[in-house]
Amino acid sequence: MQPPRPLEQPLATWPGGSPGEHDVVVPVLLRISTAGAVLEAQVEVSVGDALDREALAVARRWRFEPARRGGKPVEARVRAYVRFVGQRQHHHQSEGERSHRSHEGNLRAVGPVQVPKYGEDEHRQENSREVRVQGERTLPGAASATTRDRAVIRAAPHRTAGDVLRVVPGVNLTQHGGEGKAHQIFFRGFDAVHGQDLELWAGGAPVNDVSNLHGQGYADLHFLMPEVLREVQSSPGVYDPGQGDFAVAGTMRLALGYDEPGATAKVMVGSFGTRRYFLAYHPRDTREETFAAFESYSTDGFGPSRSAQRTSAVAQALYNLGERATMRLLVTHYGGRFASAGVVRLEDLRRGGDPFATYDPNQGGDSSRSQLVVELSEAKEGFRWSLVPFLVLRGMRLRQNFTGYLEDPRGDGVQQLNDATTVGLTASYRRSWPLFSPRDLLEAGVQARSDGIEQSQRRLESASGRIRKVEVDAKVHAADMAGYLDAVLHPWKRLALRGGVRVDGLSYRTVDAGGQARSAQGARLNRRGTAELILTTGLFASASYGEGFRSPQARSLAEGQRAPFTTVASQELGLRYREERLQGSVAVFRTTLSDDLAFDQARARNERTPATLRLGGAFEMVVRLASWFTSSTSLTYTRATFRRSEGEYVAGALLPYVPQFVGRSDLSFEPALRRVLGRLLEGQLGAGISFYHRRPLPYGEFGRDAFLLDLRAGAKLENFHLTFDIYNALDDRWFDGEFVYASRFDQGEGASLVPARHATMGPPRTLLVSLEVAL
Amino acid sequence: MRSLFPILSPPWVVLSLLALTLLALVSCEEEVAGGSTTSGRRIILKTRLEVTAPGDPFLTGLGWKVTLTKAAVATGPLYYFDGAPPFAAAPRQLRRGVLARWLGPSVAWAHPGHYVPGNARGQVLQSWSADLLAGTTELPAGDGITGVYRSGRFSFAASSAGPAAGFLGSNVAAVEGRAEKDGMTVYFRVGTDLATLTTRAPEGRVDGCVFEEVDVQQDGTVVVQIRPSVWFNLVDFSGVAPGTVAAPTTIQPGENAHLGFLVGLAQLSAYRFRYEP
Repeated sequence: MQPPRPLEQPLATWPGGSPGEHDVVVPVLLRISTAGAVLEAQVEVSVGDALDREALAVARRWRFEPARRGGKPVEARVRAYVRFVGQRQHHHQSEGERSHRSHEGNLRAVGPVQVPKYGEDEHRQENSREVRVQGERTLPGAASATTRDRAVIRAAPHRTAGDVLRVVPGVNLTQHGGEGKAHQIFFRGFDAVHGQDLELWAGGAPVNDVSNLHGQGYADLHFLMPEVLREVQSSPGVYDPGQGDFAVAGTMRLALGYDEPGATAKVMVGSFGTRRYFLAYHPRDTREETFAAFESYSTDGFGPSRSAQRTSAVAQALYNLGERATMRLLVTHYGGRFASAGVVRLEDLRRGGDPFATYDPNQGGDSSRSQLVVELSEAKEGFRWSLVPFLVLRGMRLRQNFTGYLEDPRGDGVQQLNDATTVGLTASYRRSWPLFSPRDLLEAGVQARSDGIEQSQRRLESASGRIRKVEVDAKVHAADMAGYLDAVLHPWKRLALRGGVRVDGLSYRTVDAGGQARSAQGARLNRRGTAELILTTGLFASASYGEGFRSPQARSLAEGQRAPFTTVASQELGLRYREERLQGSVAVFRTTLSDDLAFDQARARNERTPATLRLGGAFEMVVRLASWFTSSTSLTYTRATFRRSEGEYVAGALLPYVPQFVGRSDLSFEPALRRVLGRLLEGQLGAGISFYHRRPLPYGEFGRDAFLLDLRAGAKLENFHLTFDIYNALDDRWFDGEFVYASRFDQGEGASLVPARHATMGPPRTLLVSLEVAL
Repeated sequence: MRSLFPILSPPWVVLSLLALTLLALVSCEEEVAGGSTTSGRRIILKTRLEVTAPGDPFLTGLGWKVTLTKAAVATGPLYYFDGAPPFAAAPRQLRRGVLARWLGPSVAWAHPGHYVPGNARGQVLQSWSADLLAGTTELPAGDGITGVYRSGRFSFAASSAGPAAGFLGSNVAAVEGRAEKDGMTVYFRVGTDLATLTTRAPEGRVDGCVFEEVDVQQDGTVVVQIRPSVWFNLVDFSGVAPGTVAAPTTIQPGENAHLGFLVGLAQLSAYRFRYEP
């Protein structure tokens, strides 16, 4: 048999634009068609996500003389190297040589090289000193950690960047407070409320508000557009020493980018008077991290008190500073205003009441965010450092009335104001630390943020809106400083150990309106570690353990009190499989909390509960059968229970409100249809399926299940892209949120005062049509 | 086939099977471990109104011996709360031993009477009327949730439902009877509508009645005990015309005796709740 022979092999370009000092070689497995095209490419030994991705992208563009048997072309599999040419090699080439190689293809660098088995490969490289692997490595981590890239994010329609979190396995989202209030996030058995248990980072800056009056960790993602999300990284549990405050259920990091070259203008119109204008610019010949985007959105809403407007701008630029250093600059501005319909009592719905009606039309709020992020980083042989200072200015006003006239006959309306200024930084230094293997690493990191917050909560008369009671009027200063060590060791060629320690110190000072001040401080040491075993090519088994904490609301602390942390312990066992066309994982996890917070039906707010346990399993997979098909599917089961009896909570009973089964599937077909007027017509069909099942409610009840189908259909003809998005295509009358508590919206005698079921209605079927033009 | 359908590749088959097994195991675990629901539950609370020894005469605080010949009440919504009634004993966990009382620091108690109802545990929302001399009357069933019950709210409401609606008319409470003292006998009729009662009992409510403390965990019956004798504790019949059995004197609003009657209707001690499984 005659093996395939390379004909055309474009050069691999370095991720980030600037080459490393030495060559980096990524071993890949290729399946070559009888026509000589690369049908399938798979990384044989990973050298890091970024390099892997680029290697696969370039390998797929290679062309071969097909393998032949008896003179007839046949399919064949070959092992090959994708080489990233390092600085030294670059310097030894003239400009002319480089351009010639680029033009002719990298014939010399790559051939159908036989790659030795795992382990031998490393040994041979070390002995020969021929190449040195350098770049972003994929560090060992929990099996269920995932990254969902743009292909998955774009499969189904998403109204906002917050909506995009649905693609993360185990996430269920609700938006009970109107299009502008932060989503309520449920994640792997946690009711993270508006961010209390989920650490969120976007573009290198923290999204969670410290001690926000409406809820600890309040995370409003409306300042981002879904189009500028490059990928969503999810780290369930607390196994990474880099995870800090709010990482109780886990951490999500949103990377920003926009990949349509040139300028793009998009107009969207649709149901309920919805209009959206989107502009973006991404300079050609730059990485997708460099872009600017603008959004203006407004809607009348699908019922009374559901209108919303928002405007936002995001700009990010990536600069090369010298040969190996880069600077990333991110600036965002956002302002939004929204109305909120609040809740409806289920008994009113059963009596035939309008599900989209509102008891109090004066609910809603506004929100703003401006931020500046500067990331300086440098990667040299054997080490990498980064420094990311950030400044965030946040404003929030909410007006809501969830209990009607229960507390006061003049009305229970609440106005909450929370303005915060956040200054902080993250910094890390990673270096090679070859104790057992050249792949061993040591990283030291520092994270710090300081928040100045002004907040107030006032009760309002329903009729006049006048203030009837001042409940909170305070200034809070919160500081969070953390340092961590994170080591990766390879005592055996198939075994990677990652572990570290992290110390967080939190301090708070609260000054009430009367001038009375109090302060509190606390520190906590957390240990984290993961063992990862390579079972076979692409298949990993891992075991992870981690400790974390939940920080307190500053206002709840007394003078001199040691900041009482809720302690968190997470464990996970799992398997992870990874190749180019198929990635997936299955894991069992267990998380315990020393005490917890849950929505209290008596007080209609989150209150402390006894210790809790989450036990569950997660399954997820991403399939990319071809460039035109992507699917991402996940199913997560979590059983959240109380570990101790206290008050009305009984050991073994389920924690209310958190759905036990959460599923999500994103499917995308993007076939090339035909040529029209000499131009290629590309189609797009996408679907997003979300469902949750068994949502426990207080008093032994279960909430209504939901099954939502969002569809996308589009066609792209050169510079024009027409898209039809249908949300809730089955028009399911679903409850976006469900709550059990006492309320009194009827001021007459005979009102029910026993805790009752309330719901916020989810949006009905909604059609949005958008036309995008590449300018 | 393997290349076209990578989902059938061995590692993936293993992962899929593991996932299904895992979900099955976890589901089974839930059934085995029990606790497949949240704590607490909703319950049905039947309601019964009782008057002890309804036909027996009683002695009022002003020394009148009163015998009722007709008595009816129209009840409004009834609520049961977990807050302690204003004159309840100290919570059990705060009771202190003899030694501690003598040797330990003294305890200052806040002024009693600041009733905080707390959370509503149960309720009957439908208005009804009852003939108090019938002894017991079944009221419409109510609903509630499990937990500790400590206090209750009795309320009056004009009602056209129930066995005594005709006798009551527009009144929320009406009584006929005989009062005797020092050889004087007064045949009387007294009643009040809701508007008049609200001068003594805002919105016709009597808040903070004792609910005999109990941790309710299942369906049952709430018994509302009414003591009409309390209604007459401050009624001075000396200014009321004697009347006759056939034509009792109607005590009019504004008269001293009527005022005493209103005060009596608003007394906490006239109403008491208890739970029977």
